[in-house]
Amino acid sequence: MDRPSIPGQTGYLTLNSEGAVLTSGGDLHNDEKTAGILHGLITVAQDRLDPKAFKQSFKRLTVMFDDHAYVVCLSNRKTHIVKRQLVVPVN
Amino acid sequence: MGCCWSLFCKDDNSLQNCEPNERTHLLVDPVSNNINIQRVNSDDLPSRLSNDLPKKTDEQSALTRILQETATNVIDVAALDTHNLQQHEYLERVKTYNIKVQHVLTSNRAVLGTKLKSCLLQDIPQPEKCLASDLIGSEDTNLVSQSVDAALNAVNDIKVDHKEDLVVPFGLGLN
Repeated sequence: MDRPSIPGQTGYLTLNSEGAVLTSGGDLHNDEKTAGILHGLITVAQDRLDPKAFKQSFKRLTVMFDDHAYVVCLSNRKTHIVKRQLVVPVN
Repeated sequence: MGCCWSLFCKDDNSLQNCEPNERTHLLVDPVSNNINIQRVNSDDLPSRLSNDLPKKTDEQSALTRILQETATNVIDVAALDTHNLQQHEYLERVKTYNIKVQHVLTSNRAVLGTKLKSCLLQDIPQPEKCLASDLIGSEDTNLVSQSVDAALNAVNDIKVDHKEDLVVPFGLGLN
């Protein structure tokens, strides 16, 4: 991994403002499909949500699955995506 | 086509003294053709000015017509040359184009603004910190799931209770 690892990280993507993949690694190595879906999600979500309903803007978008999650952040006009493995609680 | 052209030129040889070869001009020079007429007119003009007023106007109109025809046939290459821009012309153009761009930007601000700001997330300085922070807890996830399920069920339960006719005679009793 090129970047500092995040707990449970299995892959990462960095996109530019137009959604093109800049860097990638791990599970998401050159995963343009996931990149396109998540980039579309943060652009479409803005059109669908009413800004008056929220007093502050969002810092992080998480797409949760049963055993993993995609975490999306925006920094320096680049979209950072990290795939994280969920720690399943032992029942 | 070639035959027609050569025959035409041979007919005109006596008048225009043209010998069609590879250097013959395809376009007839209107200025050289009109020089004779113009000279004759200008030579006769002083005598006609004094005694013949209607003819003078005719001459003038003919001259004007020749001038106009010449002007339409002439292509001013020097005026078409746009590469030799002077500095002040260049600055003027920059100013004009900037004004036009600003005009387009202001008129399309709504469209461009949504394109530029169509990202849900706000720009944060340290993405690693945000990405590494704890994910949403399972309790919160369950709460959201249950709420969405309840909302979905509620939406699916919406029914139209039909009580009255949709189409009713309106205002017929007044007539």
